[in-house]
Amino acid sequence: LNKKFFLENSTLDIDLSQSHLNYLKVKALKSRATAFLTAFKCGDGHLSSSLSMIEIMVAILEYSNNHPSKHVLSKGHGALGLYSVYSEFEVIDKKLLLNYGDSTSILTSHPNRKLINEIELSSGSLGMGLGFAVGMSFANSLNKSSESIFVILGDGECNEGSVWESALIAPSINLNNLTLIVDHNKIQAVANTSEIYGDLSLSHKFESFGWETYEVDGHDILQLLQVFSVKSNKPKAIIAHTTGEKSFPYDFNSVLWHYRRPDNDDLTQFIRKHSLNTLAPEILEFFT
Amino acid sequence: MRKALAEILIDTIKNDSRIIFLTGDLGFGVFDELTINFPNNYLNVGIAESNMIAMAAGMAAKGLKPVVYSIASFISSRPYEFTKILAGYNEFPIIFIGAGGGLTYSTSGGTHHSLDDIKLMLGIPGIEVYTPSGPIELKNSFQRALSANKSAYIRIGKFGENDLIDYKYESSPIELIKGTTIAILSYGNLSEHCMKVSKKINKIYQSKVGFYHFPYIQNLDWSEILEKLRSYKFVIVIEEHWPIGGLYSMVLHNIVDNNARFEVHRLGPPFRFIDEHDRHEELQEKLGYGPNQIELFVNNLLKREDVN
Repeated sequence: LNKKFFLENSTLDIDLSQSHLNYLKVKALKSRATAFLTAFKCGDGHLSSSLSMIEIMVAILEYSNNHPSKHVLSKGHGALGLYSVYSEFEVIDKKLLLNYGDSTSILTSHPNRKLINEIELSSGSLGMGLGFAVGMSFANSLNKSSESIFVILGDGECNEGSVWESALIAPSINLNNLTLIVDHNKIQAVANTSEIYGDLSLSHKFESFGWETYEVDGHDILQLLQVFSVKSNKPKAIIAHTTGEKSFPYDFNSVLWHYRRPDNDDLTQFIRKHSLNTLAPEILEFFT
Repeated sequence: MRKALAEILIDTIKNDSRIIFLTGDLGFGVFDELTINFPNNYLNVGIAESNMIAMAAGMAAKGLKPVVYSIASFISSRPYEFTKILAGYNEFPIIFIGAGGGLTYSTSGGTHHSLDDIKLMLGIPGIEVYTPSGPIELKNSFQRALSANKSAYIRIGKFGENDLIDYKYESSPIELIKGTTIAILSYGNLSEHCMKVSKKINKIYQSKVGFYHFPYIQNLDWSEILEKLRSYKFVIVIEEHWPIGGLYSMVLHNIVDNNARFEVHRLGPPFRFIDEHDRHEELQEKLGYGPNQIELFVNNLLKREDVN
């Protein structure tokens, strides 16, 4: 991002000091460790899809601290990522993660809005969240509400035709309070996105549909917050380049991790890679 | 009926600005007055039914009262999973209006025929299904659906329908004619035919035919209904819907559940795609459930009854 552009166009009412960003990075690391350890302990986590969206969710909750906003997780299979960040921001009690996926837990493997107040949409079937967020955003415009709406989609989710129905209408109805973030982790359930559609060129597509479009490093909280605070009369589409692989000890980006549960060796290497013994010992202690 | 819908919307929006009407680019000229006088309460979302339902759910989440409109076949089957997940599973209240139910758009071909809409919408827990016969009943059904704050599907016709009931009904079905031998059960656009035929036959066979109109067809008390029908020997279900999943299916299912004993018959379109493209009433005759055939069918049953 061009710093000059940002200084001229953003609301500049969020704390982007280095010390605060470091504080948020630690929150992200702890959320990442929480997601990994939960998947290790309980299984069934759509782990890579959850880890790729950690910083996106941290940035949204941080922004929401100072600005009225709602968020919609359209890629419902990232629920573990959502819950992990929720636990760091004390939206939910971290103890709930210990029983993740149990029949009595409110932390279902796809989010259920009847169980947690902050969840706007019970999602899991892909391609519904963007239109839903467009409807919320339209209602806010009509009610002259200043509330922002964030919606997180997966890149694989953009295979769904309904995403493009919603993408087509959003810029035409003057929504200035809607931010779409595509978690562009390049992996979907059984293949890499490029193996199915080649180069997705998501930013070109959204831009041609009339969205104000940005490409950012989806693991860079500063970049995300900067774009969130840019004033715009159009809906914003943020293509957030992410990777689930970043968190893993292996040097490959594999669809294997869409469903895989980490084993003991994975955990040992994960702890070592992220220096959890020194950076987040309390998370390790909590889960052991 | 579409004109009545436009009037109802204007009347209700005057009192409740939270109502917002979304159309999937249909209703040419019908909603002009609404558009001009209440531009904030009207949105043409284009030919994108799935997005229309998703947007409606988002609006409902923010306290608006969305009403979504398209041709019955397009609003029921095209975005079905969106309806199931957003109006059903998520419980966002949306009022669905399906115009031209049944074979109203007979000349437009099988793409525009709606012979499974009732089945589909009845198949989602929590969605109420209304089948008004005419404009006043539509108004009452709309208000009932709105005040229930639940999702509802209202199947309407196109134009020229007449009201059978002009009062606020409390339950369904409504016994419009009490008979002794044959009970006719129907709803929506066919109720008017059934009513006329029943009256005509009753002039010859005094009060042998009873007629029951269903303003809505879910959450019914079937043990009570079957008790009311107990004195009849024959039950004829007449509906412009395929035989699977509509009122006929419901009657059969509940007869078994309640150990009732009737001879049940059905008149309506066969379970196949209708390639014939005659005008609506002519097509009804061709497919065996026009007024003349209903009359003939009932007369034959009564003659059989006399012989016995």
